[in-house]
Formats: sequence, structure tokens, C-alpha cells
Amino acid sequence: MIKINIKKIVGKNVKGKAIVSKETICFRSEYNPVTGIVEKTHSLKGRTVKDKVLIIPSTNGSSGNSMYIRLMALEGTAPKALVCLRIDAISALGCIVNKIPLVQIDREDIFELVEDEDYIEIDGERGIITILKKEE
Amino acid sequence: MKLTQEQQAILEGGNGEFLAKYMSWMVDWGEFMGAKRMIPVTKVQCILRAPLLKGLSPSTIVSYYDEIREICKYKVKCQTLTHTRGIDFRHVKEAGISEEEANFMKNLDKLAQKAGILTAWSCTPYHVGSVPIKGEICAWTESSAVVYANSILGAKTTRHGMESSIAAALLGFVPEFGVLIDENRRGTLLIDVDTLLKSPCDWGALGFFSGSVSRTDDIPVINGVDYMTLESGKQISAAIPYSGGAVAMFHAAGITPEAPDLDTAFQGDKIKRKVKFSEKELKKTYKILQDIEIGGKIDTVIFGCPFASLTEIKEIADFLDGKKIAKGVKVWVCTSHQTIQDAKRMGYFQIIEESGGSFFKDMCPGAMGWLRPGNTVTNSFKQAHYCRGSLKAQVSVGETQRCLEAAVKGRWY
Repeated sequence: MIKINIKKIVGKNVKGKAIVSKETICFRSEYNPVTGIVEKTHSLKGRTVKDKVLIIPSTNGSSGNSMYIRLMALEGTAPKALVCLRIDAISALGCIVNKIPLVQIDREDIFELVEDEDYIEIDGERGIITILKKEE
Repeated sequence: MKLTQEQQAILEGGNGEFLAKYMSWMVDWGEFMGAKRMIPVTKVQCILRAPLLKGLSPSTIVSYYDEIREICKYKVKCQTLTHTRGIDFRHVKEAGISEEEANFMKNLDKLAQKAGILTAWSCTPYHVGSVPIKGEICAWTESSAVVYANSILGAKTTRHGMESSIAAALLGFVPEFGVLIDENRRGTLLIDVDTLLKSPCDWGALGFFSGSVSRTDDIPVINGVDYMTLESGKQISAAIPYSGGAVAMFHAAGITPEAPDLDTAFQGDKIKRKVKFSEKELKKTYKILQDIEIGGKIDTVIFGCPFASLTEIKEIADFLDGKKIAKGVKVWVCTSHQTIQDAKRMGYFQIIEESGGSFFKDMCPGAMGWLRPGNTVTNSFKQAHYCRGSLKAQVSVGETQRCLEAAVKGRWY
């Protein structure tokens, strides 16, 4: 079990399985909100972030990202929460509007600590993220 | 965040529930991003359109219609232009858009104009009547236009999405954070250019590279180039937010308004990170978006990402005058209403159409998620990224003249 301090959070406490990428993602150009599948320009290609805790350095690219987060939320293909090292104003907006928890952490080594399918608990009140390794 | 009495009243529903909703989003957003207050905004580029994406459930589409109809019942508080329309009515079938959505979009001009919104339908507001002055507070959406406004015009805008741009238009203010504050406009890493940039497309490569070594909130400082054209500025601005962090601005030492020299660009700070951009990096960057080899068959050529200026359209027309585009190859030039009107008046539009090319008005293929352009070449790194991702195309990027040669030969040149 690994505990990480939350730097900033918006939204409620959630739990879920992790999907992790060292790459930033642009939802507008790299994620299809209808099918819930990541496009081939991204390292998560062919996979879905639906109902997962998405752990990435940040989002990037299009101003359409907040609109796409809205579409993902309406279509049921949104992640359960977003955990980022840096905050892109547009995805912050999308998360706030659609009530998707967004967490900023200050741990550049996060990608060595967490893997896909690890179990993530976000606790905003205590300001802590708990990572339960999948083998635990 | 500290609100004025007027802002507090809006938040509490004094001006109705709808404005209170937008106000609460702006307050939550501002607080999360570290804003301490709201400041007046004078130029908005808003996203206002149906989602226009195939396969969405009817309830999703209806919720967008309802929201937009409600928005348009208000009057905007400052100059507000629309971002691209997301639909060219001549390509409705090809794009797989339903009649219903097309009709909604057809009626949207009138609806938006009632609210005082200028329906420019453009990703390049600075081409069609909105050129902010240095220091002017804006709320622009298009990622390339945000970078252009901050970096090249010296105006101030954070990266905005649909909801915050609408809020800015309806409320007349924005939360003050990020690059709206002078000290956050300080350069954070140096890109030392050690090669000749021969075309706007090379500037796109520099942008794509600079973005890839940047993290969100970084402000790269380009050093070692002598001059920049408007078209070069567009290409670097378009490419830079797509390859790494969500970059909102850059400086070019000796060129852009807040960077008369390196020291000023870094606001006197010590340069902590330095990356070299030489011939090797330039070539490597082109290779990232090079699925089609030289001599390979092409299906589509795309110009106008960001939207083509008259100068760019003239360059295309000058080349195509008296020539024919290869059989089976589509050439698409994307630009807005206003620029098309001028291109028609000056005859460039007719020359391009006679050679077999066509125009995309108020939108671009990269934003039409289910177009399948096949083997696509373009002079824009951003468009190539979209075509490969959303449109599942094979792509290659090259400067305008190469793309034009390819258009008439039918092969990547």
C-alpha cells in the first residue's frame, strides 16, 4: 500500500481501478466519447478510460476538451476521476462542470509507483490518495 | 476568491438560475486554478455549436440544443466571436451529420446574433475582425489562437473551453489566474534554434518539438531566429499545445512583444532548462508524422489549419493556376466565410476550384470525426495529428509547395 499526498482536489471521494499513461492526452483528438476507445495516436490506444481512475501528467491540446468531457459524461464513457501532475485549465473546467473529481499531486515518480489495474482510493478530506497494488 | 457585490449577487441567483450556474462554474474553476478575483474581459471567442459527432445518443444532442437556446436568450457583455461552426453545409452528407443537426446549425446564426454574438465561425479571430491589443484581457478558446494572442499579440488569455467562454461572454469577467498575471508569463525553458527555418511548416515542426519538451504551464522561449511571419506564427502556435503539455504561450527572443531580449523573456530569472533544436531535431520531428513515404500514393491534401489567410490562399492559387489536380485526389482549403468572400472577389477561389480543389467553409476536416481522408498530406502538424487520430488517416507533413506538387502528381513529393 502506498499513500500519496494530494496537492489540490476538486470533487468528491472516489475509488476505482487505475489506468496509467506517462503521456498527456487530448480527449478531443484522441478519445471517442461514443465508443469510449482511445485513438491510435496515444499509447493507451484501443483501450478505454471509462469508469477508471485516469493517471496522466496532464491533458493537452484542444479547447474542445471540456466539451468532450461533457460528452463523455453524458454518454457514460468518462473516467471516474483524473489524477494529474499538472493542471490544464480546460480539463479542470470540464471536470468541475461535470462533477468528475480532479486531483493534482506533486509526485514526478508516480509512474514508477502505480500500474494499470492498481486500486486507487481518493480521500479529499484527509488529502490522501491510497494505491493498493493489484497483487495485494 | 473575493467577489464584488455584483458578482456575489449573480452567484446567489439574483440574475436568475442560468447565470448563477455559469457564475458558480467560474468561481469553482477560478478557485481551483488559484484565482483571487474576477477581472473584466473585453474579447471572447466562444465555442457555440451542437456536438456534431456521429453516434451520440439523442438525449446528449438535445441537452446541447437546450443549453445553446438558453444561452442565446441573453445579451453578451463584450465583443464575442464564434469559433468554427463544425459543419460545412456543402459537406453534410459526406460528414454523416443528421438533417436535424444541420438544421439546428443553420438556424444558429440568427439565434446567436440575437444575443449579440458575431458569427465569424473562425479558429483565427485575428484574421476576421478581432485583433486584441497588447495586454488586453481575452477569453479565447481555439488552442492555437490562445497561443497566438498571448505570444504574438501580447494579449492575455488563459486556455478556455466552451463553458468558460460562454460564461465570460454572458458575465463580462473571468477569473484571474495563469498567464493573465504578468509573473506567470515568464519564460521557463530555452529552445536554442540552430538551424534555418525555411517555411511556416518548419515553424510548425519547431512548435511540435517545443511542445514535446514542455510540460503544462511551461513557457518555452525560442532563441536564435531572426524573424517570423504571420503564417509562421500560426504554425508554431497551432503545433505547440499538441505534443506534450498544454502550453498557452511562448516567447521568441528579439521578435515577440514581451521578449525584446532573452533576459526580458525570462523576466531576469536564471535559465534552468535548455534544449537544442538543430537540423537533426527538425528532421526527427517531421519523421514523427510521416506515415507516407516519398513517392507514395496520396488521397487528400489539406491546407488551412489554422484557417488559411488570403496570403496563403493566393499562394495556393498562384501554383494551381492553369494546372489540374491529379485524378482521385481531393484538395481541401479550410477557411472562414469572410476570407472565402475575399478569395472569390479576387478570383483565387475560382482558380482553386477550376483546378479541382475545394473549400471547407467555417470548419476543417480534422474536426469532422468520421471523415476518412485516406492518405493525407498537409502543411500543418496540428491537422496531421487530428487526421491520424480522429480520422484514422495515414499522414505526412510538408511545406505548402511540396503539398501542392503532391496534389498535381498524386504522390507524396
